[in-house]
Amino acid sequence: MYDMNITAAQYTTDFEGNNTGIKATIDGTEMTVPLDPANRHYAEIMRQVNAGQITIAEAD
Amino acid sequence: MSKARGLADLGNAFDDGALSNRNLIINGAMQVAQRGTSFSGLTSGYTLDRWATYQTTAFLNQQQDADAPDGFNGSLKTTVATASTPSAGDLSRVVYNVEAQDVARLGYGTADAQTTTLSFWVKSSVTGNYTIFVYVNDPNRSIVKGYSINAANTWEYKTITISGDTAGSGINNDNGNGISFEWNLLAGSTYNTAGAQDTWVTGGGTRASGQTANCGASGATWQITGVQLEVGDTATPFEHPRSYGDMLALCQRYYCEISDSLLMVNFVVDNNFGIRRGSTLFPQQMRASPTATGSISNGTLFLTPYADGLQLSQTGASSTSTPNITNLTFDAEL
Repeated sequence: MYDMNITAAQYTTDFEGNNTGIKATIDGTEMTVPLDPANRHYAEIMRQVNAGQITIAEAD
Repeated sequence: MSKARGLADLGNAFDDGALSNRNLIINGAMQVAQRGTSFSGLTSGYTLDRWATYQTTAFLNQQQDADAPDGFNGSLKTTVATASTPSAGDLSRVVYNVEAQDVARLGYGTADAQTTTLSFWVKSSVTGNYTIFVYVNDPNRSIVKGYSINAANTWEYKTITISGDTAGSGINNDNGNGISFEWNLLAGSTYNTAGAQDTWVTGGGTRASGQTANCGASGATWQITGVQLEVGDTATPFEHPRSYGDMLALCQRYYCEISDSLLMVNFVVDNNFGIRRGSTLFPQQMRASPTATGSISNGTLFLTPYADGLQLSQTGASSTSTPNITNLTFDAEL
């Protein structure tokens, strides 16, 4: 694992308003990250959130 | 290797439990390259399928190269793009991560922990002593193994036996990261001075202990292919896949791409919500729900990936416009 450069993170939702993923810019590329702890991008986002390095914005 | 020696080694492999499907490494012959065949300016990330690079500074370019020893069609080649004298904290390596449930059976953390053997072909313009950092994620245990490159620009075959780790909590039988193998190409003093090789320790230890060679000079090269990890204390001949398709399917558990033309077939207008919606299955069930990337020619694209497949929708486009979805990738790598 390495420190990913995460410059933006915002939840995405389904039509019922439930969070389904996180749209994030990681190492310069916009990605849709699922809320799966086994996904390495999600794990790194949450690590950086817990370390106070980034926050995840609510969905529009 | 003589025929008699090869047969004897296969006999040992039979004793260790398998004459086929011995190789725990996927794409060890560097055949599959879904992301592309040339990578520059990449600090950290995946290159050829299942193979990653982690660098503190992006000074290495990487490519799939046709140069290979007899019996192989390609290799993973790194080339120093910008000369680098490593500072203390610099570290650059080529990495392979094995899924935990593929190696949980090794019995790490028990008295019966099994020995494995790593074999590979390597070639470099820089001779000297190199290291491989072996890290077991679940119990946070590691060991450093060494090998030497004796002649510049010459393919050399290496075999490294790794004793099973009888300490620690072992490897979980799940889809997480099991064992990482990190071929160090350049290591600063923080990583290559203290510590010892061939001893399991808790934590990361000194991950390049004993490394004297540094691929830091401009134009320096390092190549690898024919990577095999197998149970037992003997390296057997490299086990090629039955076909390219077989190997591609194994790789698609961790990364895949889907053509936009296929998705367009499934993309339908949902008048109830004023959007277009579609779904598709991945060619293989992926290791975990993958990270998705993609773009659309008009409107806004929403992707909801699962391990089995993808839901997608388009909003904000006119009802008559035809969306063109491109660059769809799905990444469930470790």
